[in-house]
Amino acid sequence: MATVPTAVCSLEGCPANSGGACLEGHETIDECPNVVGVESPDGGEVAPDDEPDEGGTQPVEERRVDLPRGSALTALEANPILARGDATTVLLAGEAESGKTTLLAALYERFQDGPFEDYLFAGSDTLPAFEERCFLARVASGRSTATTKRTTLTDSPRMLHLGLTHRTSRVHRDLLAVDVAGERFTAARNNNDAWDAIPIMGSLDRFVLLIDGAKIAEPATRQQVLSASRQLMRSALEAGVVAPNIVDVVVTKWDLVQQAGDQALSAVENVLERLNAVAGAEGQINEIRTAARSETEFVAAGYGLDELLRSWLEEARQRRTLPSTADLPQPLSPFDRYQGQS
Amino acid sequence: MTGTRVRAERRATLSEVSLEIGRLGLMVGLPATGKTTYLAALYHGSEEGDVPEALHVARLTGDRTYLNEIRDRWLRCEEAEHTATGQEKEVSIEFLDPAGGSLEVVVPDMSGESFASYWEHRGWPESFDIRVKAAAGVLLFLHPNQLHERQLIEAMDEVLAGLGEDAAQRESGAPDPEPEWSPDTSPDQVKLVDVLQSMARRRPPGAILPIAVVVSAWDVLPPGESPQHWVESRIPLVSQYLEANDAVHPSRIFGISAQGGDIATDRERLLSLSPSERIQVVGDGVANQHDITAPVRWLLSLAERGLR
Repeated sequence: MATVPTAVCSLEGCPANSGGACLEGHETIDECPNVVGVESPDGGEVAPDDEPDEGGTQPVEERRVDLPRGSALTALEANPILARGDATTVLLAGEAESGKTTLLAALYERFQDGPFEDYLFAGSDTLPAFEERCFLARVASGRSTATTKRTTLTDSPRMLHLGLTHRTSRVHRDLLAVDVAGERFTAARNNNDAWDAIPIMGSLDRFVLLIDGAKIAEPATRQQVLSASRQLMRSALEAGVVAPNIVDVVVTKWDLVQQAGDQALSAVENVLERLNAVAGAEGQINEIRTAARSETEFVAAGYGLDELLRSWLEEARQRRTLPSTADLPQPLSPFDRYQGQS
Repeated sequence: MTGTRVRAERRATLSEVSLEIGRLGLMVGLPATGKTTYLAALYHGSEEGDVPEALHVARLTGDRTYLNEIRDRWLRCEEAEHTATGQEKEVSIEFLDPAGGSLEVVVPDMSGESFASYWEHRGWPESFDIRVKAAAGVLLFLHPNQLHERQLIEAMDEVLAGLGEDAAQRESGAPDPEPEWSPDTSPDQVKLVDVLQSMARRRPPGAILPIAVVVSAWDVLPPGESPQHWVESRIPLVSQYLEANDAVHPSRIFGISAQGGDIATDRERLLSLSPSERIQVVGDGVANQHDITAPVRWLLSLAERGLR
């Protein structure tokens, strides 16, 4: 009757070969990557190159430990970060090519040059995801002009992660930025139910409405983009997915707006007034102008990123510590006062 | 008396002592970052015993063929031979001190090419994982002339504009491609941060992993440069990561020239010096500029203080 051969460790003097503890700490000899052959119970050794007996043991290749992929996170994958309690979650909302991904990529690239706004880069769970989004703006891509890979509609909404530590206070913040294809916001503008397809709407710290500065700069598209922005914000507020006091309105590609002159600048002022009207009395819109890249010498690349980061990391925290209106004592109704309630 | 046990095998048998948490120093780095040259000089410096502050050899054991080969090349002021993937040996040197502490410095991947693959392939061998979990610290090697840094197209445009080249003229040719991203194109500082944070995450929560950053070939840098400033300016992402995570990664930065100069142009002068005199070490807490063991002594001091 055939006997089952036993594994042999190649390390000289390893006690596991005689039933003792593995020199490298494996619980059983079968787990050890140094196993290179088998030894029959009768003492003969089967060399690794020999044809194994039927049912015999093949030489073991070393096992591999998988590391996290580093892709943008699903809502479930982001839970451990959210559970730490120091996370700020932001959603960049805007039509296709308004600059959502470019803005996030530019913020990440800014830290590649050093600390930014007194924050140190402390790590990221999505380094490969950021690198992929930055690639087409680097010389390594072989391109002559910088661009950003479009977030396609087939990409389910995911989050990019930046861990940041304040240089002096040493307080740590996790920034989670939801990266969503622009087509989803076009759908939301057309139907409030479309907001359901975007994760974590209920736990946002900042709703960042992007208005495409390139379209403001062009007379042919100026009014359309301003109207679409106002409608998108109105849709989010009326759907109840966003509170009016957590809104950043970001005009991207500010270099082009400025270059286009007074009519473009005045259109921006006009849309901000209308957005404030949409937000109502409880609205506290924060207006920021950015130029992640710049085609003019009058606006530097990275313009506005400092203000954006401060809004996300500092103003968002302040808002979180303010009591919500539900926590404040409610005024007595005329009926309650008539009844002598206090 | 401090001591060094020396052992180099095709696949090192790590002692039970070093696999005990807090007794293993991992020597890692991307390809061509000076690990082999440093190891040769470290072996010589700790075995020769002519630098008072350096860790010394207590006893020689095991097969030292590889270490003696690289040491002999170093003594002749010859370049270290590149270690190709598949030929790498896992080499170890054990240091002992009078208080009974020990640190086995292990180079799990002499070529550095496996280390480079961890970022791209999102995984590493189980044997490396075991060492990561048991490590008392890491010696991370960088070479000033082998650093792959990122270049932005916009920054390049500014440089070319300064030289009189018009970006619009350059753009008027064939359409710009949109190639898929490949991980190997990422800058070295991103790869290094990714591996360091992956190492930290494989360890028990709260376990510290000290990092001795060794900037090799220090002689190629201008006089007056400091290791700290070099890391801040050339690999700022790694610098920020270490500063932000100093509770988990206490760190110290060393500038080390194991060759002492350019052996292609200055070999005659270098051969006229005693081997230990060739070695140049700079950094905080370095008492003797010829003490090649300074980064290892720093890691050993943390292990002894129970900072693990």
